[in-house]
Amino acid sequence: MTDVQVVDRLRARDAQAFCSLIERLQQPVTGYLHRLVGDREAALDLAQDTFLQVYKEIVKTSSELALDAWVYRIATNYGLRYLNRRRLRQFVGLEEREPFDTNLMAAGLEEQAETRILVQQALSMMKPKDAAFLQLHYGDGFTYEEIGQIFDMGSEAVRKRVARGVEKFRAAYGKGPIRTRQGSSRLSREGMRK
Amino acid sequence: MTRHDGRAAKPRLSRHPDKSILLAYIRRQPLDDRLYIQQHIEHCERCSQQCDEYKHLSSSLEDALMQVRRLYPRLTSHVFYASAEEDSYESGSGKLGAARKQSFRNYGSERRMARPQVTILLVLLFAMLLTTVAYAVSTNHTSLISNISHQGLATTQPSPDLGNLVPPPQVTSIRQRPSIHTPVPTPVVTVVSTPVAIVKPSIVICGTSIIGSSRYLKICGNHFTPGTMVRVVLEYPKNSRSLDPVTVDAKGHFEDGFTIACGDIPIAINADDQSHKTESAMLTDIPKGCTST
Repeated sequence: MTDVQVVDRLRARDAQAFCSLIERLQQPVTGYLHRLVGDREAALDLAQDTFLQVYKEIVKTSSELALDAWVYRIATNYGLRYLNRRRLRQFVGLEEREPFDTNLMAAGLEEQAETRILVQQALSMMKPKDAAFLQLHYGDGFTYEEIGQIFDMGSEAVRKRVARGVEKFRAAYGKGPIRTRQGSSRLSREGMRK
Repeated sequence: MTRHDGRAAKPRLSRHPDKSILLAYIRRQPLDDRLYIQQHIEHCERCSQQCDEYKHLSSSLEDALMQVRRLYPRLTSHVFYASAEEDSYESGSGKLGAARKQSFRNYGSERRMARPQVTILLVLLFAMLLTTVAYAVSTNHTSLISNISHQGLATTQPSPDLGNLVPPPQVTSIRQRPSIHTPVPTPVVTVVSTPVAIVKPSIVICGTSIIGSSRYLKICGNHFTPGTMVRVVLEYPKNSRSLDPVTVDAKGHFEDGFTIACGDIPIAINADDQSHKTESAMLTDIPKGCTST
């Protein structure tokens, strides 16, 4: 089935098509949001909100819609909005800074967990939108062109944004306030900063 | 003159490409000048070194970011449930329909983000009240304080005007979480009631035995809603396996067990509440192999 057909079925409120869409995208989208906001529970909420928004708004789109990019755009908007509000709450002192989400440690091998935490710490120190570019490219494997569709910008602008994000990431890596137990990492911090 | 004209390449080779172009090159993104960039990197030590650094950093970033997969409960039924709820509320009419719609909004898309706004409003109201009380005390206007308390501002119930802003007491949520606690530093006046700490459901491995090349694991769950049905789901990297639902006892406890091959350890075990879809618990610290723990 082509993308156009899928979008047409979704626009016709076809429950089966919607179910297939969620089944296909729920884990990547939730994973993306989890990495973006650093909180599993919030990511699940935001992913659910994303698909609800898709369900509500799909009728307003056209058949030529780049479906996956559009879903990720909604997810990104929800994620960034959540982060902004959380920062505001932390700024006015209504919410303590959350410790790093240990659920991220659970995925994959144990020896990779430390690197993953350091990476996530560095990403959390960056501007959310800069981090989102890296998450989408490195975490979800989107090309510059696809990221351009998500953010509604040209692939050349994405190229510069990703490169800038990588430089910011390299500067932030290992500077997080939280130190890991072993104090060392599979990935050399110097190698990242170089 | 075409792009592949060798004479045109010479002057370009002497210019170092932008860092973003080098990164795009090693990330195999479409580039107009890929051939020229490749030639330049082959001859330029500085750019070659930069590319090596980017390769190292990129592979590390990929390794770290691509791991987080398949650790989440299924969303499909939750989304359909929520959309059906929304449809039914939107079809409501009159005051009741509006109230239901408001109730769903608290429950639905903005529920997590709406609470801080309510909290901010309550804190501002409380600050105003404190200011008034402080003013009254400083100017010995004790009658003002007694008037305030008589007018019901010191009640623990929200005033009628705030009804729409305060989440209803029985809001159904897909995942229960403790509400944000606003410290109220006064022994005299209490504007918001103290939130009750909600203990999250949890599961642990409460028994294990090895039978030949298989391992039997017993899962114990606590703090689930009594009387509900809970389904244990074993999450593997490429699929998942669901066990038959079990009933939570009156103490919020349930037990379930399963046998797995020693080399077939799930990456996570989820326990999802089938009755309310409000609770779930996850366990990832699963003993590997068949050595006794």
